[in-house]
Amino acid sequence: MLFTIFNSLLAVLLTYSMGMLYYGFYRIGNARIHRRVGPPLWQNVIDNIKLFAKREAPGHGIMFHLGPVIMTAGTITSMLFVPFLKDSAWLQGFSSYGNLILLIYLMVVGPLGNALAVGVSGVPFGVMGVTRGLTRLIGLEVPFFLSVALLMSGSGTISISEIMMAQDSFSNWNMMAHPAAFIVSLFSFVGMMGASPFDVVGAPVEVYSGPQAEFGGKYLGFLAAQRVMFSMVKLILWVDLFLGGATNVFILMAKSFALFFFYFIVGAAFPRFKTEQAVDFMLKLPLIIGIGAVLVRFWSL
Amino acid sequence: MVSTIWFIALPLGLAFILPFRGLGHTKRDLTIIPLVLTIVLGGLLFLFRLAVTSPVLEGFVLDPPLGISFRMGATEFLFLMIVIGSAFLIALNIYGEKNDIFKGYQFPLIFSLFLTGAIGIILTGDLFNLFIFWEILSIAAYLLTTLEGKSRSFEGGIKYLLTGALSSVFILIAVSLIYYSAGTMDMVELGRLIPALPSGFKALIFLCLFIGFAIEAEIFPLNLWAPDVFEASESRAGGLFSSIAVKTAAFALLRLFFVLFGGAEIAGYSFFTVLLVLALATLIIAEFAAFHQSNLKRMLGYSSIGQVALALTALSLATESALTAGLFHLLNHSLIKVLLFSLAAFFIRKAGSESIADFKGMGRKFPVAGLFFTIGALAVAGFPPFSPFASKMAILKALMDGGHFIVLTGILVATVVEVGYYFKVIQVLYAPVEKTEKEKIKPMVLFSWFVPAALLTGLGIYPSVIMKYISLAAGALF
Amino acid sequence: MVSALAVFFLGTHKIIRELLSIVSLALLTGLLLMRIVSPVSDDFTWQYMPGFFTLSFSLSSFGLLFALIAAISGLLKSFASWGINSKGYHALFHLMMGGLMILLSAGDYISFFLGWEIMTWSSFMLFNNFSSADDPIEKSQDTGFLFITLSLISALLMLGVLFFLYNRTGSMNIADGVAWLHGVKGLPSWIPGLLLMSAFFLKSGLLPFHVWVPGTYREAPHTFTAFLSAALSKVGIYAFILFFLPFSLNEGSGQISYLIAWIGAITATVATFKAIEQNDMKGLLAYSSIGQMAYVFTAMAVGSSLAMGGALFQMVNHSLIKLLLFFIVAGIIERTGKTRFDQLGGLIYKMPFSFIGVLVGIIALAGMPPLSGFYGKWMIYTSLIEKGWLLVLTGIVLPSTAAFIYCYKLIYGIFLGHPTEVNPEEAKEISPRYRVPSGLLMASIVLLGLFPGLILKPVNVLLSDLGMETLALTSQGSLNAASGSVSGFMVMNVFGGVFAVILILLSLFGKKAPTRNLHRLDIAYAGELPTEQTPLHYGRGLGHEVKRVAIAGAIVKRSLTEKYMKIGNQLGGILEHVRGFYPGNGQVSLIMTMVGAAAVALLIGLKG
Repeated sequence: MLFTIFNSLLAVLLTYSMGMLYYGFYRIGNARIHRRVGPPLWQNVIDNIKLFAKREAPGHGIMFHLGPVIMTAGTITSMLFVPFLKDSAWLQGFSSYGNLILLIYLMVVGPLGNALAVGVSGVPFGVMGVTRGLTRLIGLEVPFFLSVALLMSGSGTISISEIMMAQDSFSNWNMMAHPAAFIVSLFSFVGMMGASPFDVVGAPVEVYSGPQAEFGGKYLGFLAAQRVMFSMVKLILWVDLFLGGATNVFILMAKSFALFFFYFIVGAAFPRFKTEQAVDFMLKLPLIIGIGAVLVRFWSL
Repeated sequence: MVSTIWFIALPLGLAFILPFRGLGHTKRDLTIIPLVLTIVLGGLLFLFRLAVTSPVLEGFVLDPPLGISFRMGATEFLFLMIVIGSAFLIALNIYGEKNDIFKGYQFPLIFSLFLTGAIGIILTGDLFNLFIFWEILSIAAYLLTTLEGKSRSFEGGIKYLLTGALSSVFILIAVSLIYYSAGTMDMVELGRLIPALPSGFKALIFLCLFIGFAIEAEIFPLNLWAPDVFEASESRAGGLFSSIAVKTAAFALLRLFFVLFGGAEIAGYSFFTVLLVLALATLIIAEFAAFHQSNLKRMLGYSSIGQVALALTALSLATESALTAGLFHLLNHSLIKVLLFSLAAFFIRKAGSESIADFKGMGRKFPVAGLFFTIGALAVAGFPPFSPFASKMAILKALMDGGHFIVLTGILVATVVEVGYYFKVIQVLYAPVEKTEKEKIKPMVLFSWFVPAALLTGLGIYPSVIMKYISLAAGALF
Repeated sequence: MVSALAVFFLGTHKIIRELLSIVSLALLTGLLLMRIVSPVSDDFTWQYMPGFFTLSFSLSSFGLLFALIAAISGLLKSFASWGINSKGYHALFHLMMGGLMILLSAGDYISFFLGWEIMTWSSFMLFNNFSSADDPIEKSQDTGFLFITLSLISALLMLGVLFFLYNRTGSMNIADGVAWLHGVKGLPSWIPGLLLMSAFFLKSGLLPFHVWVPGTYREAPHTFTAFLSAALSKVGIYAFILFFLPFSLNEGSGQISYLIAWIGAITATVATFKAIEQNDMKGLLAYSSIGQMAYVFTAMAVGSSLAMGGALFQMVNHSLIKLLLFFIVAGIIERTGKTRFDQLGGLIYKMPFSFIGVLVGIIALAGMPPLSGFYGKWMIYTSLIEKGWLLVLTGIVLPSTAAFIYCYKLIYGIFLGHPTEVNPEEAKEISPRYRVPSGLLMASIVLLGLFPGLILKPVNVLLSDLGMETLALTSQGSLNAASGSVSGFMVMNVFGGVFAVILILLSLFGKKAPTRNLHRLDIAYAGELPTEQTPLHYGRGLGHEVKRVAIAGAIVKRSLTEKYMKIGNQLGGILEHVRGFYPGNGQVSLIMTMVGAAAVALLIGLKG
């Protein structure tokens, strides 16, 4: 148990630093695309520290105070149920006690908890952002579930570790073994990471709204930190599910960075969907591919 | 051993005495007289309870087959119970809550005649005698319709008169034909003689008798007069028709099918099919027609037609279990209609109108009345734990024994419609209104509602109590 | 079992009735619990109508489960509605309970139908006489009419099929009928089965028969709606299990099971989107109930042990959750007098208990870990994957995800945001008689979330009674399936632990960077300052952009209720025509009579 707790702390530290690094790269990359210089690589960490150093933070009561806590707790709990490494005793977290379906639902706990805080703050724009997020979630979850279900059904197990174990060589990577599922999941992946064309929820700059409208100071610091960590969790999840897992941290970093790069390119290139357009799109193209995959699998066998 | 003749003598004698005593006292409240009459008759019936197992046969002047005879067996006992019981309850209700129209000697007179006719039809073993009592019953019924004295009542009375006259004509024709060809009027004897008659002749006799009886039994397409009469007459008069007159007509039909034409083994077992088809059609049409009714009495009239038709459907199956079920249903139906028509009178008087929409909220103003009406409505629809549930289930079971799926479906569809319109009334009754003080209801009236409701509930929970009698009654028909 | 019937004849007089009501229900619960501990097998027969019907009663294990759910719901409800109901209400309620018990222990068709009917009319009367609608009479009448007509159609449809079974098997026993249904192959045998299933679907509120549910739930007395949702909606499921479960396990019935699974998924989708649209609390919960019940049917259609366990777990969860939510909603309506989201808001400060209650409720309702709602859903999802019905899974995931929106709407519309027509200063916490049962329910939901394995023991008993394999039981805290497992114990502890740690961390920061609590109106509002008049509460419209999604919009726009009313009107027209047979005119009547006589003569002549 102690070992697991130690591992958990390690996992938190790892995701935080990896996340900050990756997002630093993201900002530089974005800037270069826009023909700017961009901030230094560790700018995100500096911003985070700045937020925590602020003298006071405006609040709206206990629930508001708890919001970021729930969000962060949700993120870290999700993190602890994803095995980071394959064939290793390190960084397994509590994943032996859970499974993929559990994880998918755990990933929603955080944002919903935050939604409560946004609600109590009373900012209607924040609530609008939350609702957009939930609506978008419909579009994202359905094809995602389908692709993951294909995976689970194909591997005969719902445990992430086992799915990871099953991919023992490059040709067995689920990316290759279940290409349709992989492609479908990529759509959801982009949305879940919050990139265009599915980023209307926290649409930066465009609209003075989004779930994080009212937070400031330490609260915003927590939210920023957990956002980064959450993205990492998702990256690692995808690596585990589709890219064959990683036996040590460096391979993990390499694979997740590759995926991250993909996300960055897509996000930079595409404009934004409106919420209902996003859901509509997600319920059409990816879903059709997914259904096609299901039919192929079950009816031609 | 008391003679069965008393059953006739009492009411008839009373009817003769009344004008002499009551002449000039048209406004006196004589409503206690019908009540006492029914109680006495009930007591008389009690004395005859052994007749259920050992039938009594009494001849007058001459023994049958030459003379007139009265029979009292299990079936007659049951029907007498229904008739006298219903009469008692209605008389009780009238005694408790009377309009001016019931004052004076007219009502007791008509009531006594009505009872005379009904009882006579049940008891007699002679066909022509039956016709006589049929006429007495009919005339009393016509007068009963006009009791209210309004133009609508007279119109209803005339409609009834004309249709009833038609019915009497048919019966008379049949009676003449029978006497001409068979030479006797005793029904049991006729049962032996009729099969020997030529079949065309038989069909003609059957037809005339059937139409004659069926008009009064409110079978489609011969029942077009009925809803109008129900609407036109005072509510409790309607109750009397529904619980007594129709039942005696049903009894007459039973006599026709089982005694005169000898049960199931005649060339006319297809006659049973005719009855089945017509009864089913009556049921469905009646329930459908009732749905949009806004006049409470008319609605109850349609309902009455429908329920009797349901019982007749069972009776037409001609098996012992079906007959038991059907007879039980007739008993239940009388109870229900007594209850509902009495309540209708109450509501109409309190609301000053016969339209259902005007009864809004009366269930809340008069919770007891509302409760009893709800019991009545639930009972009619065949909901447990009331007795029509048992009888309806028994009927359905008997239908299934014979494999009549279409009939079953028809009955179920009719039930849905029935529930629909009764529950609409309940909804209106319990519509929210501002609270007003609840008025007191006279104890007599309450009692007259309580008895049928209690019987319905009690028999619903323990039908076995009465099943013995009813199965005997059914068996006696064979 | 006979004592279960004793619930019947109570509650007619005096103020003591409240006490009597609770005592009798407690007795009932106690008796049922005792049967779990020491199973008795007492079958009871009664010669109802000699020569016709013999009623037989026996309580099977899953009947026991349903009875227990009903009894506990009734007990809690009686507690919550202490002192506000008249004697008529109590009489009817107990009558209904009695009817329910009869139904659950029925061994033959007549007693089954008897219980069903008693339940139907007593709930109708409860709904009709004690309606909580503040609408004019028209609305109530339509709703009540819809309820009773549809209930009756389902009941009589069922009766018709049961009598048909009697005709085919010669016996009135349920067991024989069930055997016949499964024995016969070929299309004709499907028709009675399908008809019977439709009758049960109608009672459970599945598409397309769900139209009576929202109106009825909305307008019934508030605590009674809780009971409706928690107990009465389960009757259809019981009936389905009784008659059809072995059927769905049968290999040859794959298509029908698949169809049922899809009906469940589609019902859930429609209901969920409709729920998002609702503006009043009870309506939202009503549609939510429809959706949840649909999941249970889908799970039952899958047919594996895991699925069945999931279905039962989901059912139990649903009862707990809906009781909790409806009780709190009833409490809120009682305190504030308001029923709609655009009338409420901002109540979290004065009603913290209610807030936490609804929070627990919606977390469980949405199926989120670490509370119990997740585990039922987990079992269903896993079983769908194991069965390979991935498309059905997708069909279920859609409404599950959409459910988050209406869950959020429920809690936001009442507690968060800004107050509209309520005055937050004057609001008081809901009265204790709602709080006690709510507290109990919350505790059970948390407990089941912590130890989901607790449900496995009774579920295994049921499964073995139904002839299915039992589920593996490793520890109280976890659930296991062939493809994986989950430990509720660990999940809740991990989450709790992390939550505590973060909270401590945040509070540590509080020393250096304290929080300054702002006025309610002091928010980031695009550079302006909102006033009291500015409409800031996103109550009614929350979720309206869902409408713009093509599927959801199409669903929400259509209303089956209207279609039903239209059909009803058409039928009414037919009825009117029939009435035309009876002219009020004397001469016409007479002529018709003679014509009729002639027709009869013809008829007899032809036949004879």
